Order: sequence, then C-alpha cells, then structure tokens
Amino acid sequence: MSLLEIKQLKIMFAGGGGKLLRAVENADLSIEAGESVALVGESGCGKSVTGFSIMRLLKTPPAIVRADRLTFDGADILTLPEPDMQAIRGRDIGMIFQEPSSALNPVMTVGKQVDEVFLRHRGLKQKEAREATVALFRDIGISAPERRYHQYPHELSGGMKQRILIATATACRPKLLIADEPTTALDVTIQAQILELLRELREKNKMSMLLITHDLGVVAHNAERVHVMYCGKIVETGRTAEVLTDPLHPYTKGLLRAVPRLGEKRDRFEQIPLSVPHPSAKPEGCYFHPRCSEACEACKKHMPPLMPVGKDGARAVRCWRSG
Amino acid sequence: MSVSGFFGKAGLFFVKAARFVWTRFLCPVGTFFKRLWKHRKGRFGLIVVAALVFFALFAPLLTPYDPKTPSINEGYLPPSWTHLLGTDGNGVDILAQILYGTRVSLIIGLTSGLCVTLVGAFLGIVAGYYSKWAGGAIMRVVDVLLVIPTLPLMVILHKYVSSSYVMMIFIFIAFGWPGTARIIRAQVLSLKNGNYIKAAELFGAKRNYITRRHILPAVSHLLIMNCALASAGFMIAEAGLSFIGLGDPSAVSWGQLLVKAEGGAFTSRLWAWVLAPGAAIFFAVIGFMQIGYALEELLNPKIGGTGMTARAWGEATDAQIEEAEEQMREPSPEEAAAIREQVRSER
Amino acid sequence: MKLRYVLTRIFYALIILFVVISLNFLLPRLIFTDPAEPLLRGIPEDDLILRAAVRAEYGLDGSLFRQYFVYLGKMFTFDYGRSYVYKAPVFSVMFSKIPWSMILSLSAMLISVITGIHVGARAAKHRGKRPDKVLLGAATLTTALPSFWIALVFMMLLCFAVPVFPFRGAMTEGYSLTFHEWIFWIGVLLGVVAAGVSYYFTKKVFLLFVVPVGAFVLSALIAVPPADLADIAYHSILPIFVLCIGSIVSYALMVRNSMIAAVNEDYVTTARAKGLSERQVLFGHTLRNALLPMVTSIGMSMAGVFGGSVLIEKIFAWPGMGGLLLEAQNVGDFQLAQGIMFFYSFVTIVCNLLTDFVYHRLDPRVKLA
Repeated sequence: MSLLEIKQLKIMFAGGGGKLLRAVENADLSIEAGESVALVGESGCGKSVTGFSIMRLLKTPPAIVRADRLTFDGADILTLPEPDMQAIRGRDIGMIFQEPSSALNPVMTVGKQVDEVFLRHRGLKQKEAREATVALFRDIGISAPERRYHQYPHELSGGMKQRILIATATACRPKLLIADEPTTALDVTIQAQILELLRELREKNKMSMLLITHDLGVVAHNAERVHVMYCGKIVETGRTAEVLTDPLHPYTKGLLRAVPRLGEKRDRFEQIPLSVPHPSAKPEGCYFHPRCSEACEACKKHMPPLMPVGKDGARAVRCWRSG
Repeated sequence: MSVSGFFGKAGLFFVKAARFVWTRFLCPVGTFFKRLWKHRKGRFGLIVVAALVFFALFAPLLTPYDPKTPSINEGYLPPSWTHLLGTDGNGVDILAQILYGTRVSLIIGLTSGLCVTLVGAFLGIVAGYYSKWAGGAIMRVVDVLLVIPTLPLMVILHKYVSSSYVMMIFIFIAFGWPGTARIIRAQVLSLKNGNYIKAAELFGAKRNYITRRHILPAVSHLLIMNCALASAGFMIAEAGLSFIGLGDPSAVSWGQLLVKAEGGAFTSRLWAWVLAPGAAIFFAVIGFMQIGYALEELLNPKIGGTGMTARAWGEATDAQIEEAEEQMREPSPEEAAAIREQVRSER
Repeated sequence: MKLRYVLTRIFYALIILFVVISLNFLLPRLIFTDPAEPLLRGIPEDDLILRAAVRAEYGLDGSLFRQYFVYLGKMFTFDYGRSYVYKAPVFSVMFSKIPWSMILSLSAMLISVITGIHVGARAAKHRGKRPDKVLLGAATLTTALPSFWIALVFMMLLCFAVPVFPFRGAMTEGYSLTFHEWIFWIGVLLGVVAAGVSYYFTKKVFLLFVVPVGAFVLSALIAVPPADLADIAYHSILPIFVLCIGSIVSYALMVRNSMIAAVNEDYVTTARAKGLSERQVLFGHTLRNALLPMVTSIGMSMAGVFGGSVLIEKIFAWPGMGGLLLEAQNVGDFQLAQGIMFFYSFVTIVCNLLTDFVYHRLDPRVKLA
C-alpha cells in the first residue's frame, strides 16, 4: 500500500454569485514511502489546492472536497475526526509554503514558533522544547542557533526564514513533506541550498515528498515521478526523466520548449499561444484544445481520460492524439 | 468689424464658454451623480440629503409656526393635530424647530467637513510630497493638536468668546484637520515610493503635475469619504456641544432642542420631544455616511468596499455539486477507445 | 539601542508637554480678556489693595513673561492654582473627582473590551451570517446616533417611564459618604508600581493592564464603606450601561475587521499545518495579531478613563471630572478649567507614550524611531 493514495480527487469552490468553480478534477496521485513526486503546473492550475487538501487545510465552505479515496498511511483523510487530523498535521505530514516572509507569524520569535511543534506533538516542557529547537536549528545548518531562536521573522533573510519553516515542518520527522513552491520566492543561489537541504533531510529521514512547483528545472533533479497539471486536470504523468526528455502531451511539450537551455541560440522562446482559461470559463472538450496546435474535432468535443502509455503503467497522458 | 462678425465672435465665445462649463464642470458632476444614483447606498444617501436640503430651504413653507416665537399658553403640549410633535416649555412647535434646525446642522456639518478635508488634504500633501522641512513642521503641529483635549479647550474658550456657530465651525476646523492630514500624508508617503510616480519624475514631470495627475486621483476616494464622514461627525458634535451648553442658546438647532428637552420633557412625559431630534440627527448622519461609503466603493477600484458589508462564504447546494461532478465526468475506457480509434482513422 | 529609543520618546513627549503647557497659558490670555476678571467681580473697583492681593494670590499680576514663568514653575511643582468655587487647590479638587469618573469609565472600558472581543471574534467567525449582520447593524446605529441621545432615551425609559434606576447622582441624595481618597490613591499608586515591577521580572505584557486595574478595584473597595458600595453600584449601573453601548460596538467592529484580515494570513495556515488545535491557533496566532490594533485604541481611551465622559456625567449628574469641567465653565472657574485641561493633556501624553512602548513590545516590526 502506498503512503499517500488519492483517487478521483475533486475540489470545488463555491463562489459569491452562487457559482461553483472546479479547481481540481478527478486527480489521481500516489506516493510511495521514501519517494519524491512532483506536481507541476502554472499558477492557478490547482496544484497548491491539491497539497492543501491532503492536509485538510482548505476552508469548507467555500471549498468542497470529494474523492473516491484519499488516504494517508491507511487513514482516511476525508472522514478522520478533527483531533486525529491535527495529530497527523505537523507530525506525520509537514508542509512548507511558497512565501517564507508571510508564513511566519511576525510578532513571535521564530524559536517559539518551532517550539510549538514540539510542545504539541512531543509533549515536551517549554525548556526541553527550546533545547530541541536549538538542536534542530544546528542540524539544519542555521548559523548561531541560540541567537536565531530569539529573533523575529523580519530580522531574518528570506532563505533563513525558509530554513526555519523547513525546521518547523520536519521537526517531528514526518513521513511526508508537502513542499508548496519552496524556492519560488528565493534567490537562485539560495534556491540551490534549500533544495540541497531538502534532499539531505529526505535521505536522512527516509521522508517522502510532494514537490509542488512550476519550475521544471527544480523537478528534474528533485523528483522521481512527475504529474503535469493543467486547469485542474492531471494531463501527463510518468518518471521524471521520461517525461522531460520525451513529453507526450502538447502542454508538456510547450512548457519544455519555453525553458531556456545552455548553449542554445534562439531569438525568441516559443510560447504557448493564448492564456490559461479562468476556472469559470473552461472550454468544452479537452481544456487545452484552444491553445493546442494539434487539436482535432474530437478534442473540441470530448475530454480525454488519462490513458496509460507503455507496459509498466508508470506513464499516462490525457490526449487523443498521443500514441 | 461688421456687426454680424461681432455677433459671430461673441456667439462663438459663448458657445465655447458654455461648452467649457458643460464638459469640465456639468458633465463630470452629472455623471458623478448618475453613478452615485445607481449605487444602492449612494441612492439612499442622495435621497436623504436632498430631503434635508429641501427641509432647510423650504422650512417656512412646511410649517405655519415660527421656531422662535414663544406662546406662553401653549407650553408643554403633547403631540396633536395642530402640533404634530407637541410644543416645548415656551409653547414653540417642536416640528418647526426640527425643520428649521436642519439649517444649522447642514451648514455646520458641510462647512466644517469640507474645510477640514481641504485643509487636511492640502497640508497632508505638502507634508508628504513637497517639503521635508515644512512636512516636519506640519507633523509637529499635528502631534500637539492631537494631544490637546478639545472639549476642555472649548469650555475655556467658550467663556471668552460669545457663543456663535462661526466660532464652533472655526474650532471644528482647527482641531479637525490634523486627523485628515495624517491619513493623507501616510497615503502620499506610500504613493511617493510607487514606481509609476518615480517613472514620472524621471521623465521630468513637475511636482505640481504629478500631484494633479497621480497623487490627487489616488487619494480622492479617501478625501471624499473623509468629507462625508467628517460632515456627519460634526453634525453629531454640534448636538453634543450644544447639549453641554457650548452652543448658541438663542439658535434653533437639534442640539438646543435636546438641551431644553432634558429640562422639561422627562417630567412632563413628552417623548416625541426627545425622540424627534435624535431621529433627525440619525437620518442626517446616515445619509452622509451612506454617500461616503458609496463613493468609496465607487472610487476605489482596488478594494471595492470598506469590508463593512456582511458577505457570507458561498455555499453550494447538493444539486450544484452533482452538476459540477457531472461536468467533470470523463469518457469510460470503452468510449475513450472508440473516440481514439476515430481520431486515428481520421489521421 | 532600546534605551536610546525610550529616552528619545520621553524627550519628545516632554517637548510636546511643554508646548501644551505654554498653549494652555497663552491661549486664554492672548486672545481674550483678563482671566482675573471673574475673580475680581465681587470686589469694589476702588479697593486696589485687595485687587492686587487677589491677583498676586492667583499669579495673575505683573507682565505676561513674569506670569508665564510663575506658571511654568507652578506646573512643575504640581501647583495648578486654586479653584475659586471649591476654595481649595485645583490639584486636590481634581483628585477627589477622578475616582468617581474612573468608577464609570474603567468599568465601562473593562466590560466593553471583554465583550467587544467576544462579539467581534464571533462576528468574524460567522462572517456574513446573523452575528455579523447584527454587529454591522448595531455599528450603523451607534455611529449615527449621538451617544448622549442614546443615554437620554435609556434614561427616559428606565428612570421615568419604568422607574427602575435613579436618574441622578452617584448616591442617594441627602446622604453623605465617607470616601477615603488617600487610601484609594495610595492603592492605585502601589498598583502602578506593582505592575511595573511584575512586568520587569516576568516580561508579560498583560500584567501591565491587569495589575493596575486590580489595584484600582481593590483600593476602591477598601476606600468606600461597604454599606455605601451597593448604593453606588446601583446608581452606576445605567451610566455604565450607556457608556458601554457605543464602545462595545466599536471594539467589536475593530476586532471583527482585523480578525477577518488575520484569518487569511499565511502564518495562520502555517500554524494549522503544525497541527495546532483551533483553540491554539486562535489564541496563539489569529487573535493575538488581531488584537494589536486594540492596544492602540485602549491606550488612546485611557486618558478618557481618568477624564470621564462629559456628556454622560452631565446627563446623570455624576460627580466626576466631566461634571467638574462643566461646573468650572458655568461659574467661570478659570484656574480649575485650566488645571483640568492640563491634566487631560498630561494624561493623554503619558498614555500615548506608554501605548507606544507596549505596542513596540508586542509588535517588534515597528521601527525604532
């Protein structure tokens, strides 16, 4: 049994005008113990919402979460009582966020914010928690941990704040880490350090990771499998190396063509024409067809299912024209 | 110059002048009111304020009684058909006093609200955008004025100034502008660092130009809101000050009516005497406040409202959810295989 | 760094205080007539010796400059002159009135802060539902209606239509009260010192609020004979209630708006993602941040706690500072009015200073100026 199993996840939002927006549609996702899986897509495609739904952090209402199966380590996240869910959050599943500056409480020292995890899940005394936090800071490569403990978020750099958040998320050695755009808000040099830190932690703690990002470069080195998401649907999935070298879905192809490569001379990067449709105005048929150069009549009428490619079942694509 | 030529020139001038007045003044004001009228709160406010102006202008036509002439025999009358809201201790009709009192409230509210906003905006913009030195000086004055307790000061000054509404308006302005100036300055300071203003400066735009084209429009919603709310606030303040004896006792105002009510209405059980001025103040203030909120919602495209409206989270019905799930339905493997075959054959 | 910040702020506050004192001195003198005039009203024109003596006694003789320096010296020695009505030093007159104002305004503030937080948090939680709509409706009502009119209506209803409550005074009339002011003031002073000391050792900000309030309540209880307490409490119910109406709504609205802003903050999501319970999230993160604006608001209204509410005290004939101010105005007690104005300004400046410090302690993002 996989560590995380998601079958036919549907997430909807009830808008103000009585309209129902479909954010995530029929998503399947599974993560094995120790595995790192990436969820790639443009902003607004539903990838972050998927991450939040695993933690059951979506506010309901307005969100409506339905799934045929949503289990973590055998526990059904959809029906788990709230106290049990709270016990899982932060202990068995950790989560780090895109914007380290706003994800930390500005009026609390960062040390206290990490303490909370130990106090909550380990039942430590305040003093023990403090020692544990300082030790954790040292482990994670935070310089002068004793001093950092007493500092406020605004006194730290973005990379340092992200380290603190990683410390918070991994304090209890969770089985799964959900990293929601962990490097988007950081400088490129810091990005590499943070990714390196995540890799170390993963190896040391045998931790699985769901890496949510829009950056294919990050995916290439940090995930074993990848799911490409577009307009709330997973359009392509497979082993990272295969998907990146041999994309099957026109959207994945478009994304890859838009990535600059070293040593390549181009006047212009190719871009995918038009823009992502608003969730309230998704087109009929395949959601990508208005932007797709290969679209045919069937694409305009029927939404293709995620169809397996090859024999081992690791690869699948949502396109009528593939294969 | 021929006669017709002269007329032609003069005619052209008049046409030009009329067009100028129309496009620069009447048209914007007209569209302004039209937009306000379309807004729910704005329409309510407009109606109320129009009614107040109507009462203030036509008070003599609306009531046969004079609000000042006492008639000794008719004191402390309960509401009746001749005196709809009764009379006060001197036998003066209360409805007449309410109607005439609209004048005082409107004049005090509008004049002080407008002046406070203008002075505050001017000094706030100067302090925020023009001179660092003058800005510092202005803000020090603001600091001092905000600390000085207005009420005791008015009590002290009152003893030495004959009580008149001009003085009251003057003091409202003197102590009202620092609040506005502070808000405007803070807004201007944050705007000043905006890239579009820096860009305009780089292109060589003059300060006055930037103020006119960028800063004023950006703070206009604050100003208008401030003006409406300040007017409403000063109308309440007038009533309060009159009530503690800092108004003009010979004037006809809602506050004065309440002062007299405290003396006589309770013991003679004339409830209308107490309730009516309060209701009048309430409607006047609500009218101005609604216009203020409406203008803020209309003029501030970013936030689209003050957050003062109760808006619930959307909730979906089961039918809606079912419909959405139906929309998400994908073809079964068999259907998919068929469609795929078709696509292949077409190719 | 920290010490320098504190010293700068204190220095700055002193300058403002100095300016206010000077204005307080100059305004009535420069713009208007002779402040000694009401004093001399009863004395015959030709009795120049007595006139001069009265002027000298109140520091109203000699040139403006001389008067100014005499005035400044008196301010720094806590000599605010003598009240002609009470025939006593202004200082002691005020200090006998302040406790009465505090009974009303401090109780009203306590009640409205606590209720306001509850109501506001509830409205924010049920945004757009009934509690929220009720709060917003009440906000419209209380901002559009003058508070004194609301007081008049309640007085009309509960003192005249259905005579449940007394309508004037703090005690039953014709009844004299032995109120040991000195016990009260020593108690309050001890409370302030205790608050400072306990904060210094524990660094818990809430002690700065709780300890003085506790000291006030305790010393008021000790200073007033128990038999009179019930009478005073009975007289104060309606004024306190009326004072609460407006402030509950305004506090609640503030809490509601900042709560609504705070629940959407990322750090609240982080707190949930740590596995904290809803209670821990609320008290540790959401409410904690949402209450910050309230600290400023409470600090600003602290001056009003000592100064009382002029309108409400007038309506209920309450023997507090507000009533004193009006009395000073009615009889033309110039020195008393000036003393009250100085007192208000002084308390406002001190409260603003303390609020700045407390706020800085609670929200470290505020820049050290």
